[in-house]
Amino acid sequence: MIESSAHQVTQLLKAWSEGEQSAIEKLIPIVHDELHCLAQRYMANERPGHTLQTTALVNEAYLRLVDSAHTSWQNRAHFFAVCAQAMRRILVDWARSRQAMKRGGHIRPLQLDEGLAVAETPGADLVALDEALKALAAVDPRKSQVVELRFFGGLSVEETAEVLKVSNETVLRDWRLAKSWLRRELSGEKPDGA
Amino acid sequence: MEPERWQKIERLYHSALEEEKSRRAAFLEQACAGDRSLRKDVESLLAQGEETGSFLEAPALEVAAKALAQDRARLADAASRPDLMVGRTISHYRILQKVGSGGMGVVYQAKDTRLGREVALKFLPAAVRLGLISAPLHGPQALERFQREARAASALNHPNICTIYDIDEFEGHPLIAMELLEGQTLQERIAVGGGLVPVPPGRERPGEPALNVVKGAPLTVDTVLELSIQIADALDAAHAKGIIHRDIKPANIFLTSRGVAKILDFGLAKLASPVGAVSDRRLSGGRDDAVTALPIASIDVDQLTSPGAAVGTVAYMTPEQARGEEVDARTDLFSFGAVLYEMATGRRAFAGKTTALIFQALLTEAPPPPLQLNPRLPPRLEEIIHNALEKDRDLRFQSAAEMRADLKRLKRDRDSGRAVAALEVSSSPQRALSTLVTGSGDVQHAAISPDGKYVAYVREAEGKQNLWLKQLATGGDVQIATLGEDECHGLAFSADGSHVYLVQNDRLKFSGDLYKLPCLGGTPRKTLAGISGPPAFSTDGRRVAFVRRTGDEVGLLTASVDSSSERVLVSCKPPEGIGRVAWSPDGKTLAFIHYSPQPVLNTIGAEGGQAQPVAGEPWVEIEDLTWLPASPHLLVAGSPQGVSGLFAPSQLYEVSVEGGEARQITHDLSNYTEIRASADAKTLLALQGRVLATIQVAIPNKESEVRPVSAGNQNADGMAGLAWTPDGRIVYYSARDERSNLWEMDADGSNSQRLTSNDASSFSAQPAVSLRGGFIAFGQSDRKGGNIWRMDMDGSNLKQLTQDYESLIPAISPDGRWVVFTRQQGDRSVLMRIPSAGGPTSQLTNYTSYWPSVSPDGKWIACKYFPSQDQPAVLSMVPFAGGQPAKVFALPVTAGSPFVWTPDGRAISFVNRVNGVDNIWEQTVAGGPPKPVTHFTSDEIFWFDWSRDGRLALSRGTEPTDAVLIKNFR
Repeated sequence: MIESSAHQVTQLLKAWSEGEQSAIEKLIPIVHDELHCLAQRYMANERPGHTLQTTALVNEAYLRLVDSAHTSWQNRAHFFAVCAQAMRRILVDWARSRQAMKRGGHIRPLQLDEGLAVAETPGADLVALDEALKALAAVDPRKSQVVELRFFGGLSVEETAEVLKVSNETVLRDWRLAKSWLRRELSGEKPDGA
Repeated sequence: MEPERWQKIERLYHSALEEEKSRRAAFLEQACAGDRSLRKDVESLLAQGEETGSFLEAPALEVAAKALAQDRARLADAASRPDLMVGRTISHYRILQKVGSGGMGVVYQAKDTRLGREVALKFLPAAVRLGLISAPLHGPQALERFQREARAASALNHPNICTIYDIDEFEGHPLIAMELLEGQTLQERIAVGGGLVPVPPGRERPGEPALNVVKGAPLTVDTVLELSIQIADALDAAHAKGIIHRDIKPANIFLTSRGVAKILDFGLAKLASPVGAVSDRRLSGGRDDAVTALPIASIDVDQLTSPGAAVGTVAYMTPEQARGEEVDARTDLFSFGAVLYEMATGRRAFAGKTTALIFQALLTEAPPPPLQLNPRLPPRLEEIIHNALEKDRDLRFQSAAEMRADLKRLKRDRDSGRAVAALEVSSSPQRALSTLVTGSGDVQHAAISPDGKYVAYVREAEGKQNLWLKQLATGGDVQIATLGEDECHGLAFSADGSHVYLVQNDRLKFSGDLYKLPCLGGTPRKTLAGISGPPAFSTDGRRVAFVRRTGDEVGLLTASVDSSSERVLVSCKPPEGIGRVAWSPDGKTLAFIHYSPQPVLNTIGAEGGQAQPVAGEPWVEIEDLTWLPASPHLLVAGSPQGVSGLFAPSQLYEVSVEGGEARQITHDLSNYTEIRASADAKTLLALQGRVLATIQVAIPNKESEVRPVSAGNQNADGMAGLAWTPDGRIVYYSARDERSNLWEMDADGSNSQRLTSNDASSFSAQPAVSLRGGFIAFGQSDRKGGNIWRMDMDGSNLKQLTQDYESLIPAISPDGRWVVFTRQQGDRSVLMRIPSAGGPTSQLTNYTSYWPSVSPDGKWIACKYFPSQDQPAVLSMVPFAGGQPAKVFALPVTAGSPFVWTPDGRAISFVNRVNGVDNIWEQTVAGGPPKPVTHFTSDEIFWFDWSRDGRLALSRGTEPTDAVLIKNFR
């Protein structure tokens, strides 16, 4: 059943990459489903005496959604790229709708001054990150893509290098600079003239 | 930014990172060569790099999932913090105190500052809106869908459904204002009854499904029946509107302190019920976590943090929900069955420590028999519970109405059992004992098997007919055929009881075909064509007698059941006709009704010969006829002439074929339309039509505020007349105590008192009250016919005004001097008047006219008027002094009586039936088409009257027809 789900995702991604816009609508519930499962697992395990191996869970989730082993795509790199794009779009939309709810006042606004680490103040900042990523793309499209593939697509350095047809070293360098750049962008500290 | 500059920044950034941290400043100083802006740019990037830590290290999916988990935790937290809400005014509701939580939200007692009433205000988690609770519902659609559902549910106006007043949204929280109830939930009641107090919300210990194995106390059988009939009635009403609850459980049933059951959260459960959206993966994909695996029923906010509590909701799930299938009305019946089980036994029908175990029980196991747990239960209640808990929904009760009927029957039989016991103790003379066989009220035809063990009956719902078979010993019902929309009649068992015969014909045709159906189900077989009336079978089952219409001629024929050897015994032409037929037990004689055009009982030899009329009183109408086995008697459902001038419900009689003496078997106000007997002549089966009516007071266009003022609907209150008094009381007909009397009560139903004292053979009805007060005119009838009488307001000073036994329907002139009424004169009704103090009568019209109402200015009489035999009735205004109509208005063909002037004299109102629903319509005197003034969506209106201040008193209700068994009738 897991296979069929991944298979379905592959088909939908393919359709989407070929310009069928409605395919993403069908992907949304699948991704949301995973999101809810994950959240549920986090909550269910947030009890004393339980430590949760979140990495394993997330990997599992990604695997279900974008398991390249099941792709029939001839171009694996292209498949990864499309996946990451779709994930970005779906998750950013999700975060945007969550923000809309937050404005209702009943979800406490996340404290931006707790630090800038998105992982600690998650969710709402995906939207800001998306904007910053667009700005980065204007300056350096490849670095923006590295972030998209790694952060949204969940790809490893090696997979990212494969997609972008560059060395692992280059991916690591791009990743490092991009993170610094994005973090600065999100903090609002702009250098003169930038 | 210039690409060159960006490249420079990038190079410097990476180079600087390769330098020792302490040397970076010097390195940049040199490398930037005085370009301060470049240096600042690179430095600011480097500054980020040192602290990035976890930034972007976890993939986006994890980030989002954690945010979601946090949101949920906070939500659960906020929901349990009334301190944040109490005292606030939200929209136009001032929040007074928290009264509960769970069932999808937090509930506060609040004051509606606009209307000044107290309400219960329920906040649904804002998460509902975004689908945080229920994955398939996300975004604005969720809210829209919620509102749509809730609006539909708010239209449910039923005493056993918690009324929804208002649906609103406040800062992202959908909120619902509803009826504030005092009492406790059924869950609390069962638990408290068992000496266990449920853990207050929020204090359950996670992982400890304490509530799941609750062992409460069963309620008393009387309470179980009382409450479950109410619940079934509510479900029936909701299902009729296409609304399914989906989450019936004890926590969603409220018991008010007055002992009334109210179903909560109608239309809300769907929100959290992603029907069909949950893939099998969820159930079988190895996720053992209770919350994750919970696919359908509502998830309470509390349960999000407490997996153990979620098990509680799973316990009331249905097999189809557990399988992730579409739900329908029968889904509610299963859950209701589980609730009934718990009420009756104090134990959950499906229990288990984990979701998986509950699912297993739900899908594969039958709960322990209720009788084992509570030996005091009537076995029939156990059957009802089992039926509702059938895992295959096709085998379950198919409708709430059906379930209600079974419950009601059980209650009625228990009650009447007591009554009979009481009767026997007081050694009263035995009377015919009738018991309802069906309770759905929509029975069209019924037949009893020769051995008296089965009843076949046809029900009609929404124009479609279905054939059912009931085993009398067990009460079990099976639908054996779907008959569709064609008219059917002549239902009968074959002589060996293995088959059922019935005639079906196109609604537009006079003639149909005889079919034979196996009782155990199977293909119907056509056995005889061209039958116009219900056929009769000889006792040996070999021959059939029937009426056939060919062209202009109507004939009585006999034939073999295989359609051979047809033979015409007698024939006639309109206006004569032939009605029902019965075969004598020895097969030698047929009895039949000959219309000439009055119905006359006749007999004729089965092989032909001369027809002989049966002696005795003439009949006004004969509804049905059968031969009482092994006797020289006919059983007749009909009205003999002279029983009552006002209304003569068809009763059952035993008529001697020889002498024509008729003995009345039933003495009630029901209308009997079919009669059959078992082969041993000990049991009769009849179709019984009853009037169920209550008096209600309504203001036009505010029907939602209609108030029933008379108690119950068994007394047919107001059915045969009601009228306002000038001081705002209501004089009305009532069949209370099985007598037809006039009563009087306050407009709120209090202080009722009887005004007339009739015995079983006389009737008082159709009251008219003088506008100036002082007296009541009414129709009084007995075996000889009807007359107009008057009495003072308190029932004293009775005076008979007419002596002709042909008078009915009085109306009083505004000055109180005259009583106008209808008199049957030969074959037509005309309007008459008589001084209200008594005196000579004078004739006002010489054409067919009846149902008079005098205008408030005293100048006109409105009445129904037939311009001629072949023209439709019209509404006419006749001068008070009489003569030809001054004005006529076309009436809808669906219009019915009575006709009443509006208090301002501007219009004449009447009852009009559209799509089976009665409303008050009015025809303005100025002309134009008639218009509805009330907008009821169900029920019939039997009578109505306007008060001076524009209120309507209505007698509203239904006329259910059911099959009844009658024993000890001889």
